Amino acid sequence: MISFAAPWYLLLMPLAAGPFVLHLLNRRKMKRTQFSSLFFLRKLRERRFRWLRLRDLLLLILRSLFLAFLVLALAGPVWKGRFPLGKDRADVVLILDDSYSTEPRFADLKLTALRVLDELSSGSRVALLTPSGALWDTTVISTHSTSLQNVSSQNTSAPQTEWGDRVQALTPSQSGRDLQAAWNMARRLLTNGSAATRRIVIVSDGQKRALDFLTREHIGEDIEVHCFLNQTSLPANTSILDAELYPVVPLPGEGQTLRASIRHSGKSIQKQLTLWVDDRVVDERKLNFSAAERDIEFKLVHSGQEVKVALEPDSISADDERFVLASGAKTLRVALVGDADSYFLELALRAGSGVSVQKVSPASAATLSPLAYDILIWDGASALSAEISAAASRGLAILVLLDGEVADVEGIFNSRGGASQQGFDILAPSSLFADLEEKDRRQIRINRYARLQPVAGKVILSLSGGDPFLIADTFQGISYLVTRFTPQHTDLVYRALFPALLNRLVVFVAGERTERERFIGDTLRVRVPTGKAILVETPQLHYELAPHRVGPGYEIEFASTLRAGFYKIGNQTFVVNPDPAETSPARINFADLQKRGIEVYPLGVSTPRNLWFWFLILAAACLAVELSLVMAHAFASRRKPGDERLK
Amino acid sequence: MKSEDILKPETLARLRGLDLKARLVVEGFLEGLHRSPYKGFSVEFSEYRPYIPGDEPRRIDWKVYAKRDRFYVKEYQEETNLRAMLLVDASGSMAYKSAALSKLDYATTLAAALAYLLIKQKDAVGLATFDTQINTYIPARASLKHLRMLLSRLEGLSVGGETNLANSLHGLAERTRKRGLVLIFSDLFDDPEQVLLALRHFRHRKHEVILFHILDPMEESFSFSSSLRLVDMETKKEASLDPRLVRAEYQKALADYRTLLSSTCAEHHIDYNPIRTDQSLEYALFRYLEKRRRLR
Repeated sequence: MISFAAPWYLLLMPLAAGPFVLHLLNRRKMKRTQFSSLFFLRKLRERRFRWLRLRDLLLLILRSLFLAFLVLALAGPVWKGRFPLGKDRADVVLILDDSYSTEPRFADLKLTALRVLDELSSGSRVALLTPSGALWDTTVISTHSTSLQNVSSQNTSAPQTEWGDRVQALTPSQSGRDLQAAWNMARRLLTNGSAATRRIVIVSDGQKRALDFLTREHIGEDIEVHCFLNQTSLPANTSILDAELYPVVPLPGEGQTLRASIRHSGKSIQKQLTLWVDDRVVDERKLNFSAAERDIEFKLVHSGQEVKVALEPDSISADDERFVLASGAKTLRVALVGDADSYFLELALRAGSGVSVQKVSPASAATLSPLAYDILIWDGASALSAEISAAASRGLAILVLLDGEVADVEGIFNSRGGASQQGFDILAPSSLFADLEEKDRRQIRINRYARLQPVAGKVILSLSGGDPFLIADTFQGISYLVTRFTPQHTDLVYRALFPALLNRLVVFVAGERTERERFIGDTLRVRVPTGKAILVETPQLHYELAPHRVGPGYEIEFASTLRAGFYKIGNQTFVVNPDPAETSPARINFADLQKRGIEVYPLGVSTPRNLWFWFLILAAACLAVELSLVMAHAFASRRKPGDERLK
Repeated sequence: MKSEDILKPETLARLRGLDLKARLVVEGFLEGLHRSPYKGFSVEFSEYRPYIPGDEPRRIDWKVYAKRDRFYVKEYQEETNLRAMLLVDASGSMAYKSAALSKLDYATTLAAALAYLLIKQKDAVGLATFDTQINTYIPARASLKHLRMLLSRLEGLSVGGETNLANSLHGLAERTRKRGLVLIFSDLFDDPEQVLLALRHFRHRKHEVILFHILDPMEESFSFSSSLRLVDMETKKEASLDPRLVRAEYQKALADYRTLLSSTCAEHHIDYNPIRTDQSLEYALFRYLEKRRRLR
């Protein structure tokens, strides 16, 4: 079925009859000439005249077709193929994937979404969701109907023409969220649907990460699920997957390095990589990228807080820049719980710059406020005390230095091995110790060692052979160092290095809790002492937000992290980046979805196709044939009259 | 006025009175003939002249050779009882004119000149005109009074409707019983098979036939420049066409037609002479004298 984007141009269609009209007028105006006899012309009539009349007719038809095709091309013809969804009245939730990986095909996704909306029969109701939340609160309702369900107070009842405008105005977000949340919302919306047919339609680029949840999700028989997915692979793209500064806390006189991990897919290409520090360009490099992942390092000669590394934009622009916040500029407030052996640790902490240490009693540790301290260090614990758990639950970063045989630390680890007298080199992959010279690494030896298996947590810093050294209980937010910093526990030769290493560990653990990387779409929360309005600075706008009461204090909650960059809430700065996982080129397997009873269609099946170009081609073809006929005519006419005159 | 000028169609077009035209044409032609090899076809003795290489040996007077021991050739003024019939096509197509003379004007002038020449040589000459039928038939006579009548008829000749050339020629062949010379002036716009059949009819009656196929230059070149609607002067039928596109085909059809006529006429000893109305009448008169010489 063909429709037209600008049907008023079809009013010009009578022009196509112009050649015929001109032909008839010319016939009437044609000069009448007496000639002796048509005797020889009558003889020609049978052969030549038939062809000439045919040629004239052909020319007329070609000219008319040329004009007709030209008018049709102007009218913007659009071919809409058969739409796979039924025409029955239905409650429909349309999920339009607007994650940033859809950028190269987002126009097609929107066309498909518009087609879904266009094909709704009268009386159908539809809600349109985008995972980034750009249209999260919008419920579009077809005529003759009421709202599908109150999604929010911002529900709008919009006529059909407005749907198109709203969908057309959408741009791909910088969010990297999967569609799970949108799916859950769709299920909730359809719970109270009244139509016999309830349907979820997903329009996506088919990225495995975004849709993988569908292979595990229970699809009820009462809901039809249709997916329009892009089958083609992603175009060539270069992504900055990660950027980090190391050392996190530089030693005195030591510089910092920015390491950017970059992945390229597609043909080899040369691109410019630019490093910004506090909004100033400090380095620019032309680099060749082939289809692989590589790390690029910049030595930072300028100190600064806000660092950005950016590539020239390509097919997916959201992943072409990455922001990093340099730490160490503010004083770290440490609460220390220890025993008699903790004097060495305290001295080491106090020797480090930018650290203020306050010794607290174990009993008062449970009531420490995260507003007053950045980290609680519990030196010499042999069990997970209630005070530690209480402090962790208040949002305080906790570092526990374990005492005694690790196997005896109750409730934290399952011991699988015994103590070793040999000691182990620290060859950690983490950037915590990456700047140490090889000889220094060998000299940091730990006399006490236990083979550990974390119950619930992740290994942050491992010894050689993969055995954990620094372990984080990510559930409670407690980090464990499997050693104590005492003269007895280490034979560290260069004691001058010890405070810096300790400082680095503490900053890391504190940063894990307070300054971990946020992704676009995440909610930023900041504890504040009073209910006074706080200024929030984002990459686009500045807001003044009033905090709301949470427990004994107040909290600012900011959810509109729509773009990558630095967000300042009060005196705290957050860095927000696009989720690098969104750059994954893995596609969902259609068969996996079909096994779950989900109907899957390639994106192009329902995408209306603009035909104006083809009509222009047809018009050009008509013109070409006509020109060839006219040129043949001109060639025939160039013969001099009387060439065949008899002598 | 020079003698050769009088034979040009554009000169003749300016003259009035067919008898004047005929007389001027013939006199102009004969004046030129003194310098031409055609002198000597008469049967009435005129003079002796020395033999020159190229003369036919049979024309050597052997008695004079016996007396003078030199070759002399006898020259004659022709005297015969030749009967000639002038058949002039007066169909509508003969009125076509793109040059100085229409085909009918050219045909009547040529016929008048030949009548004048024939009568001057004491030959009998008759006249027939036709289109779809025979309109005029004047038997051959050799008097000056008869010549004036012929010229008068020719001068008053106007075109008729369509041609039925073959039918008319068959009728004329039937009516012209005494053998003689038949001179046909026509554009021959008819079925060539039928026309040739009719011509063979004359040959069957032992007539000598000279066929003047008269065409207008435009009919030959078909050099119209733009699209037009052609109206057939005989049938009044119309055809809209772009002449540039059909010109080559038209000329080929005409050439084929002429080739057919020429070859078939040659086969049946008919003297076929294609002639254009912009050509000098001298050519036609030569053709007549050539034929006349062979008839001697």
